[in-house]
Amino acid sequence: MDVTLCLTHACNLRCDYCYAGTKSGRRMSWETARSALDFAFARTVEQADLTKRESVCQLGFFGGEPLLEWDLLQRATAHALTECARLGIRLKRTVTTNMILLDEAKADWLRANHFHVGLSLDGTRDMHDRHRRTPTGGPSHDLCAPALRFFRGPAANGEVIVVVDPGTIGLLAGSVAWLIAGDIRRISLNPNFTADWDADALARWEEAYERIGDLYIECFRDDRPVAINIIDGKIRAHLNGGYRPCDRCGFGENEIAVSAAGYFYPCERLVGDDSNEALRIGHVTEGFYPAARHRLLAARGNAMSECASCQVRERCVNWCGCVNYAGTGMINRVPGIVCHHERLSIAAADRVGGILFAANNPAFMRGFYPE
Amino acid sequence: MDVKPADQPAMPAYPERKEFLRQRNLLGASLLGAGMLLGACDQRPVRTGGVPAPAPRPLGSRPMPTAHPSKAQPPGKTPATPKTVDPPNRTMGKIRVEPVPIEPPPRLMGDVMVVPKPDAPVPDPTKQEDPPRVPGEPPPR
Repeated sequence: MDVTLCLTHACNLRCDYCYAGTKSGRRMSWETARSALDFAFARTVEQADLTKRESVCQLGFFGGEPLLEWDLLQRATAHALTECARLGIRLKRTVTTNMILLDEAKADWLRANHFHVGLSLDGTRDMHDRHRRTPTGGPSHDLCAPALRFFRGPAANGEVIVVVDPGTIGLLAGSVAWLIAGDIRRISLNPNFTADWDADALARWEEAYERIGDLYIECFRDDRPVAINIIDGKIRAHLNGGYRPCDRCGFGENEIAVSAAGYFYPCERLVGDDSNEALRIGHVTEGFYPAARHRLLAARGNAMSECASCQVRERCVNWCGCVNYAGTGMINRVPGIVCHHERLSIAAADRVGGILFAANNPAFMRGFYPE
Repeated sequence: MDVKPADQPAMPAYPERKEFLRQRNLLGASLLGAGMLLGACDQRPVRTGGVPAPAPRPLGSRPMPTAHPSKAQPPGKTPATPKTVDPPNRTMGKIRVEPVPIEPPPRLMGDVMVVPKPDAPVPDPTKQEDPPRVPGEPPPR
């Protein structure tokens, strides 16, 4: 079972599209962190026994800004490593940060401890500072971007997460180009599905993805391949004949997110400010709430009849509970904007994939059709 | 908000991985078949490193001499071992050719190429799997 610990609800930024809710400043205690880890590891062993598969657990640190609780993060990691070694669990480690507190010592420690790091940065100063502001309303690009230097090159242990918003959609391709020019090789575009996307913004979104596709092709032609989620994910989904079960959300079944107060949620994107009782499925002191958890598990998936006949349904994330909830308030109803985005990204990915495959591009063939 | 485009996306112009492997295997099989049609492959000499290997000797026939009769050694005498001296520097005519140090080739790590630095630790290939989804990142993992 994967577990994400929201170490604190405090943050040193006030991004206007943040879905993590009010920045209450509530922080997780060591006892809560340890209990949550022990709970998740016990479930991991149980699940591995049932499925006769390798015990694997992904531990994620999230917030607020998790680096505000650096000591707790290190202590929880040490406990997790000890317990996983004892229980025979392979532990994957991730953390998502805005990089303001990320200095060389912390970057070295994360690398030495095999963390994969999500770096929240919207690219260029223009694009980033439009939404990512400090608590006093000031710009934050100069506070965040310097730490990018720890994650340059193909062997970097991090990826940049760029929020795609209608207010900055015209700047998106330029931001991706800026990141690529800075030798950032993994970029994850994270659309703000709750924003108001008007016709003009939708048209510019399509243009942006086309330009990003061109950048992607250029990188592969130069034998400096990059990974951009909206392209790589859709190409891989096609290569594999659709998303595989392991690509999909664990959503409360083999994945939990734990709030600072110790409540369990199906996904870290649903924790918010820890006030929505309808989405809670347990607590560190009580374990799962069976009725609440089963109600959510029974409802997940896709209840939209119109999706059944769609040609690209196997390459679409219509099953993502948190995205559906954000757009429609229901975990099994897909918002129209998600449908639009999936078609957009599939079209962009297929254009790129078709061109690179036809050219028998060595980097593309090596990455997507390995021997 | 309903913003679905009316038209369905076309089929991608690159194959699924299974189909790609199937096509490649079919191509390999067809090339092999064409080779078989060119001649009786089992009777043709097998090339081993550029020097044609002798064809199999028919049963009952005498072996062919491997050198000129004047070079033949008397029975019971083993041929002298030729002197092989490896000079420190090979020469080609009057030009002295210095041995060139061979640099290690770039390492392949997943789908990216990395030139190893002299003091860089050797990356653990088991750590090179696809990275996991980080908290807050959109699906899929």
